[in-house]
Amino acid sequence: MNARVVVAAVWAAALGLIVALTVRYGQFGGSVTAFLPRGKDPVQQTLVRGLQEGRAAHLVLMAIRGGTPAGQRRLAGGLVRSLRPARPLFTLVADGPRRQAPAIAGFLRRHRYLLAPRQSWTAGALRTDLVRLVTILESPAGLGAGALLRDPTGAFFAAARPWLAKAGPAVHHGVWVTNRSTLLLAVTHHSGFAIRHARAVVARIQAAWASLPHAGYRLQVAGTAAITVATNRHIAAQARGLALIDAVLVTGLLALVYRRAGAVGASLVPMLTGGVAAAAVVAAVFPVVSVITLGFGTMLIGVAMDYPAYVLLHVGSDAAVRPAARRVQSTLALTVTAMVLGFATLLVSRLTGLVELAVFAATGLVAAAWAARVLVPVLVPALPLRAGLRIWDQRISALVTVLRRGRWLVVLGCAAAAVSLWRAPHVWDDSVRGLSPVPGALMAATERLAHAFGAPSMTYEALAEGRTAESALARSARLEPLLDRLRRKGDIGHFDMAARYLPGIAVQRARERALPSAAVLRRRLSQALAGLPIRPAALAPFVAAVQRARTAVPVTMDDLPPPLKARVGALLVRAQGVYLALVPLSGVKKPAAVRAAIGGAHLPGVRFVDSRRAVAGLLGAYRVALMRHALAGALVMMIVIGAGLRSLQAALRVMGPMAAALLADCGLLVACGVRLTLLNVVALLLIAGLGMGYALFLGGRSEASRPLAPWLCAAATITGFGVMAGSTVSLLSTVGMTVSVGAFLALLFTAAWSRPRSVA
Amino acid sequence: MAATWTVPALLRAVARNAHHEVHFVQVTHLSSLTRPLQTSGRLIYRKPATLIMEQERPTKASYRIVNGRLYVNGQRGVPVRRVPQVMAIVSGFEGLLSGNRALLLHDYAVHLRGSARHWQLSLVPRLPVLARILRHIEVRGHDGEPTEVRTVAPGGDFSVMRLSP
Repeated sequence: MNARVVVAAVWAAALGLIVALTVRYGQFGGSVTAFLPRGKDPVQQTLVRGLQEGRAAHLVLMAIRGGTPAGQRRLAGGLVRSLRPARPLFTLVADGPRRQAPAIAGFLRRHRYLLAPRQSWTAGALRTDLVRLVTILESPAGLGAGALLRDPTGAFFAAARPWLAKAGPAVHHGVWVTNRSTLLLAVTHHSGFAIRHARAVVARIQAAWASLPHAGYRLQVAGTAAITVATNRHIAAQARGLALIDAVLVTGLLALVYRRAGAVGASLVPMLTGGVAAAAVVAAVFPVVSVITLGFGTMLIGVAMDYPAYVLLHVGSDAAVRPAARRVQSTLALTVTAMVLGFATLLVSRLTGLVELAVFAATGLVAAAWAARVLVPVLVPALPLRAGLRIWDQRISALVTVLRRGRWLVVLGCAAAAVSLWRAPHVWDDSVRGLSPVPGALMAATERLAHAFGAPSMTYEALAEGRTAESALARSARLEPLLDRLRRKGDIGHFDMAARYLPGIAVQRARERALPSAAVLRRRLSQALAGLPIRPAALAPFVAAVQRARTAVPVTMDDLPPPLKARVGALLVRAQGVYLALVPLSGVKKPAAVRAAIGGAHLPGVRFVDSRRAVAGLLGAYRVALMRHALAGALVMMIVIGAGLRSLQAALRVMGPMAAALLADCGLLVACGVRLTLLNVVALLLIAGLGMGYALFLGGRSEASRPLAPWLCAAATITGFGVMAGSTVSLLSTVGMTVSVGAFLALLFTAAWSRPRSVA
Repeated sequence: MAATWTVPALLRAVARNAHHEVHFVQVTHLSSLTRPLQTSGRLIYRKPATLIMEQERPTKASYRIVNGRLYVNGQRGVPVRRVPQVMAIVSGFEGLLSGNRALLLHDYAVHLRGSARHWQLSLVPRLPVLARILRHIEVRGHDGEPTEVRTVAPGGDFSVMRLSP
């Protein structure tokens, strides 16, 4: 009795300590994409990083609705004033274009002669400019246009044109408006996928809104950060509710069988021990642990819920748990060894996410098995099971005999499933969205607002690769005439490129060389001014500015003011030592034609990319890698089990029905119109683990083996994941369905193919 | 009679003419130029918010402001607020012609001198964005007819626009 309390206390304290240490020192990363492989190809890497770190991931879009336009403007101004000091969170907060203007205008004016294209500096070209200037001075705006004499060639406007041409929302009284709402834009410092930062950002915005008198107005917050927060909240709320139902049902089931609170409590110990140990080891071994690893891993070690049941149900008539643990230890050790070695095949995948997953699952299973073998007998020394349970053993044995007669139906079912899989038009869904449970309305709002801001869709893009930023820029610039032609033909809508905003250094140097010296410029100006009413002295600032520009250092990425840097930075990225200039194309009507046109131009280092397809390809490749390694793992498991049972036939009896169950499960899901994702593959791995336990314990040769044990385990699993199948989050429901159906099939199939035993 | 000649009275008198269509000659004096620039043409105001300046000499040009948007030579309109140089010239003028006292008082400090027969309205910009490019505007006229608009920029550059039917 005392030993129990001490062990329980020590265990709880150790677990608490490990959790505290793990949370304190572990680095936990964010999104689905963090789980994606770091591709060797810089383009793939950019695509993955683009998902994670791209400009879109940093945008928070806000809309104020209701009330009057003036009231909306007042609130928008209030929000901007309140949020702008929150510097570490936001790099930019604006409710209209003017708030960004001054810094940009100063920069463009300073570097106008390097940034703006200019064909000619002859006297004739200058005269054309000066004549145009006189017309402007004659216009109603002429009185205020004197400043134009400092820039008679219009270089500033030419330099600003690419930045201004960017389509944006309509502007009324200096603020962005659309559809009777006022819009705000914020750029966050961290990627919106990082849940902690996203939560801080959304909370800060909501606090700012709450501090303003906003009765009668509504604030809608959209963008990656908002989506991340909403998704997490949605899932957390669902998970909480489901977990409660789960807990009640599963505990009820266990209580019905064990009739001891202590035994029910101890049933959770192996799973908890495994989860905490696994998280601690993974956090200690890997620099950053993806939250996805934790989620997938926890799911995988869900098998450990079965371990205490196998121990506790094998108590004999003396009710002593310790001998029972000893009785099942070899079978338990066999399933754990087989699974750990099976997961070990993931280690050679060299895909960080999978390696993390393997380490997590292996550690978790070993720790859980140890807890089931060592801790559970200490915590529950004795469990007098009802004699009535014996009857259930007999009933199940009888049922199994019936099932065994229909075992060829299993083969038939599998064939049907295989056909269904083979004939299904779509089995796999490899899009990122397949893995992200984003609430639809928020997604739609984000897309609408992003569209209003003219954010380029990153679906189609051209890419120019170069060893230096300079060469990438120069190579992308060569695309411009071709893309202009495609745009005029209507094959594409718009395109954007870094070279437009930031010309290459060679281009800037060429522009510098084209600038005339002071003496030459003055002479040409005096020719150009013939008959015009402009005083030569009024052009002195212009001459001086041109002189300064002749010796100016070319502008690079580092010189750009923040808003410009953000825009160019999204379009010129570095990956694996090479630079990529991205040219997002919007309104692509004929992707094939655009691909052919870009490919046909034979520009070095330039290609056309369909990002969505490329990322899907990446995820697909990942899934294929996981499946390949899982198959290799299955082979390893088979060898381990064959060696453990000293019979290949016995190993086939374990693995065959399990594989059949997986196949039938997939076939059933696909026939129901579900498209399988990476997550389903992980779920299948869990079922494989569960099924192996069923098969080994159903086929147990020892006299005391209890057919009831696997059925109870399966009932608990099916209950737990069955509840999850009822979730409104499709991600959770698919997994719940996969596992509950799969566990059920695995149980039936292994039972049908289990070795006939001489019923005593 | 002079005692009753107030800004509201002036605005009422101006607003009585629903349509204004006058000939204008504008002379702009800029320190950066060797000689003043002279332009001429027609100026048309239509209620409630259309101001058209058809320049005929020395070159043909058309500037229309319709509902706060500026159309130069029939091209795509831009909001006048984005072009403060134009706004400076237009807003006082439009405020006066439309009889919109609130608009006028919002943008300018307004002083009226003289009598109905011979008045002089002085507009000093309140908004910083206007004050940067405009020192003041002086409109002279008799009864509901403005006859001269003198616009002075902060640097001393100025333009005088004479209006005649």
